Amino acid sequence: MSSVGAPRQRADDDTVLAARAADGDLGAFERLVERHRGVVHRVARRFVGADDAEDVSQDAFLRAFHRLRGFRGDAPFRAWLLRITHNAALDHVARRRAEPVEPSRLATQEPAAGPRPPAERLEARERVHRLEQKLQSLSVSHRTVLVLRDVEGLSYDEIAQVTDWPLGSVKGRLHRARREFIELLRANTYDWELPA
Amino acid sequence: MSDHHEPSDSAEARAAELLALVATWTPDVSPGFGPALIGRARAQAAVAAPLRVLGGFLLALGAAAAAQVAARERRE
Repeated sequence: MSSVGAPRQRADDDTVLAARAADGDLGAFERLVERHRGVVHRVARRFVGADDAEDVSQDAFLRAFHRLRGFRGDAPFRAWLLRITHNAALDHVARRRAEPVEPSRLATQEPAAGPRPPAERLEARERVHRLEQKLQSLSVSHRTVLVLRDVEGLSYDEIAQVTDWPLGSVKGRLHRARREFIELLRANTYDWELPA
Repeated sequence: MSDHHEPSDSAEARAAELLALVATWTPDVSPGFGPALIGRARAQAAVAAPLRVLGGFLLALGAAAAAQVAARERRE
């Protein structure tokens, strides 16, 4: 039997799960958490650092939980959730603005990539840690756009939905963010093999 | 005069490579993350429902009091 006409929403669609969770179905909320905790945690980590990433992620999910009735499904659930994550991270950054980021605060977890020789793996991990620190040194708006676009691979439209910036502003900020990132790398003694 | 200069295309490409390296690395979320979060959501939901009822009751009480005051003012 073939399906004709408008596709029905699958029971495990984000929008369906969100509606069920808004009606008090915690199992549906749990499914949403399982599905999206990876991206929420990665964005939070690259925004606020390893130590606070889980706190910010929990805060973001709880904020989302209490606002589920406000989710209309006009935009993808992921963009809606990342918008809340972004705001939770901004609030966190504002609270601890005076504190410098210490290199020792970055966790020492293994890269998820396939098996590599230990020396190469260690070097890759070290590089990722240094790059994450550089990301956290960027201005807040540049950090946002670089993490969402160049690390998480969101489209310009999705970034506009997450940040509430106009599309043209997203593109302009991305250009300036990349420039700031390159200047930060150039200012470092570590050799990033950046061409002139 | 600014000391800033536009990075070359090759510098941008190299920066993109370095950011792609960050993207390949997926930090682990602790195993207790989900259960802790669901526990907090359950606890907050349990408190939120009675609070909503109480809020509704207080709103109704306020509205009744305001109506009574308005009626008294009209009589006077």
